[in-house]
Amino acid sequence: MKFTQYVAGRSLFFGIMLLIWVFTLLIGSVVKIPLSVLFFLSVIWWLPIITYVLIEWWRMNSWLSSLRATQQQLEQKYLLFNVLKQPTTPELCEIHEQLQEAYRDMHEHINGYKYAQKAYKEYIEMWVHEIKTPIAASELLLANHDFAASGSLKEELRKVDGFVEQALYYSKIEYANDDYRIKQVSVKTFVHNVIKQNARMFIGKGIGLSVEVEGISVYTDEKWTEFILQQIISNAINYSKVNGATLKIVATQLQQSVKLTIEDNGIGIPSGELQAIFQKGYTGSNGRKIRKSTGMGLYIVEKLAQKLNIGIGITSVVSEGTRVELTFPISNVFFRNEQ
Amino acid sequence: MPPKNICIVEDDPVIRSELSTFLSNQGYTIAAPTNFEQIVQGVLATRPHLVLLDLQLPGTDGNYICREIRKSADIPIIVVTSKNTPLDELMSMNVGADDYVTKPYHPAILLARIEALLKRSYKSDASSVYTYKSLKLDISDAHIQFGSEAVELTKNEMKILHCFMKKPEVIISREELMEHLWSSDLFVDDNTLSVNVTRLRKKIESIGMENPIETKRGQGYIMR
Repeated sequence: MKFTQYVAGRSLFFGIMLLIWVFTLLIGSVVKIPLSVLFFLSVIWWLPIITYVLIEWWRMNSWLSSLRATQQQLEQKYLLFNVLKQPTTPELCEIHEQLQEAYRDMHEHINGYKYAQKAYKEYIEMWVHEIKTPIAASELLLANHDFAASGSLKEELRKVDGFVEQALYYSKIEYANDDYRIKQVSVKTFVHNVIKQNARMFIGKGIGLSVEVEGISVYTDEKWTEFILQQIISNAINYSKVNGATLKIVATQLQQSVKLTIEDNGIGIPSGELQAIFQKGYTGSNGRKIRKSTGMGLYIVEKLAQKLNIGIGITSVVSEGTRVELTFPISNVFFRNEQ
Repeated sequence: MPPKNICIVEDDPVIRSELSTFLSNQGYTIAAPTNFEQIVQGVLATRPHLVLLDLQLPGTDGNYICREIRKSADIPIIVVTSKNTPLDELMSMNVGADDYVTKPYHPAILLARIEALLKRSYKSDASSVYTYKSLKLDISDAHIQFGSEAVELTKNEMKILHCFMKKPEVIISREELMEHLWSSDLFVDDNTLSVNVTRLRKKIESIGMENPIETKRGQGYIMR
């Protein structure tokens, strides 16, 4: 704060002082008091006032500067009143105390939300685990009892399971969850696992599949990566063309990374929509045309990929196909800090 | 070939009974003890070749059971659970589970895991040989034998014949055959399947047996 600002803020006080001084001078000149005495009186009048004002300004200003400087250094700005040193005047002390109390209360308030959010996340995770038992039971029932609609019912059940998984991973990314474990995994393992989970869809829709992923491994979390791949592959299946659909999955070893491309010859994504596909809830024209899409899959995929240091790129040409490229780090150097 | 005993430890009654049905349809003998207070003794008493163990059981912990079974016998154990965090998986592996399957599993995938584990655990066993009307299929080195003649099969052909051998005289749809192949990492398409079945027939005929695989138009194949 500038000194002029400080003075301007106290203009009433200075105005009254000035008035009293001018009034005194007027009376003095009327009753013919000598100028030297008037000058002496003025000095006695102004000197303590100016001294006092300067001292006060200096104290206030030093506290305010430390306030500003601390705030600038802080990463979490809301911690300001916890780290600020005690002011020297009782008025500032009072303000300081009140703000600290406000902060404490806000902190508790936020903790309430944090707790509720954590409880909700735990409930979602528990719910997901609970629901898996009836889904597994239904799968077995369908495997044992063949009837006209059992094939379609199996497919529907896979969709249910897919949405349940999405809910689980959504809760994982939204509520800072770090239950992943980075280790060396062979690309073949997770690619084959995901393909097998979708076998019925591939066979049912007659989608030709070629896989070249032998002998390459990456550092990642297997479950999370399977989820990412599952979303990409299920998109490829959902938006495949009716006849002669193909899917090609190829892993390539590069110098510092492994590239996994998943290329289909499906309906493709209009170029204007490509940059928006990772947005939460974005469905695009395909999503609206073909089936009810939640627009959550790729959003979650991108978030998970970020955590796992997997690069993700999508290129597409309408009615020719879509190509997704996942770039995995091949050394675990990225994760060393976290382990 | 004596059927393999599988012991299912599962508290959910529907899963327990359906899994029993499913696996006995595949030619296994099933035991499913339900006295969870003395489950370890219960499991061991059924003399299983493989244990399917659910981790969440009433009043006891699956990992504890796994460790206890391991203490007294070297039976292959597949842990089946709906928990799928890395920590759970690690725990189970540490207490001696051989494989880990999360719910909901495709029955076909579970079956493939069971077969793979049984094959790994009982390598030298006679169980690798299937016989149907004096046609012998040895899945350990992928060849068929009829009388004194023998011929080698490719991986695809072997898996297809394996499927027929396990369910002789039952119609098997093309989808079912393909799902069976896919669950063993053989991602064949419709054409390849036809080609493979044709080749398989020729190979069987080449060693002197009359073609046993009939095509049922619109339904699939049947071996008889």
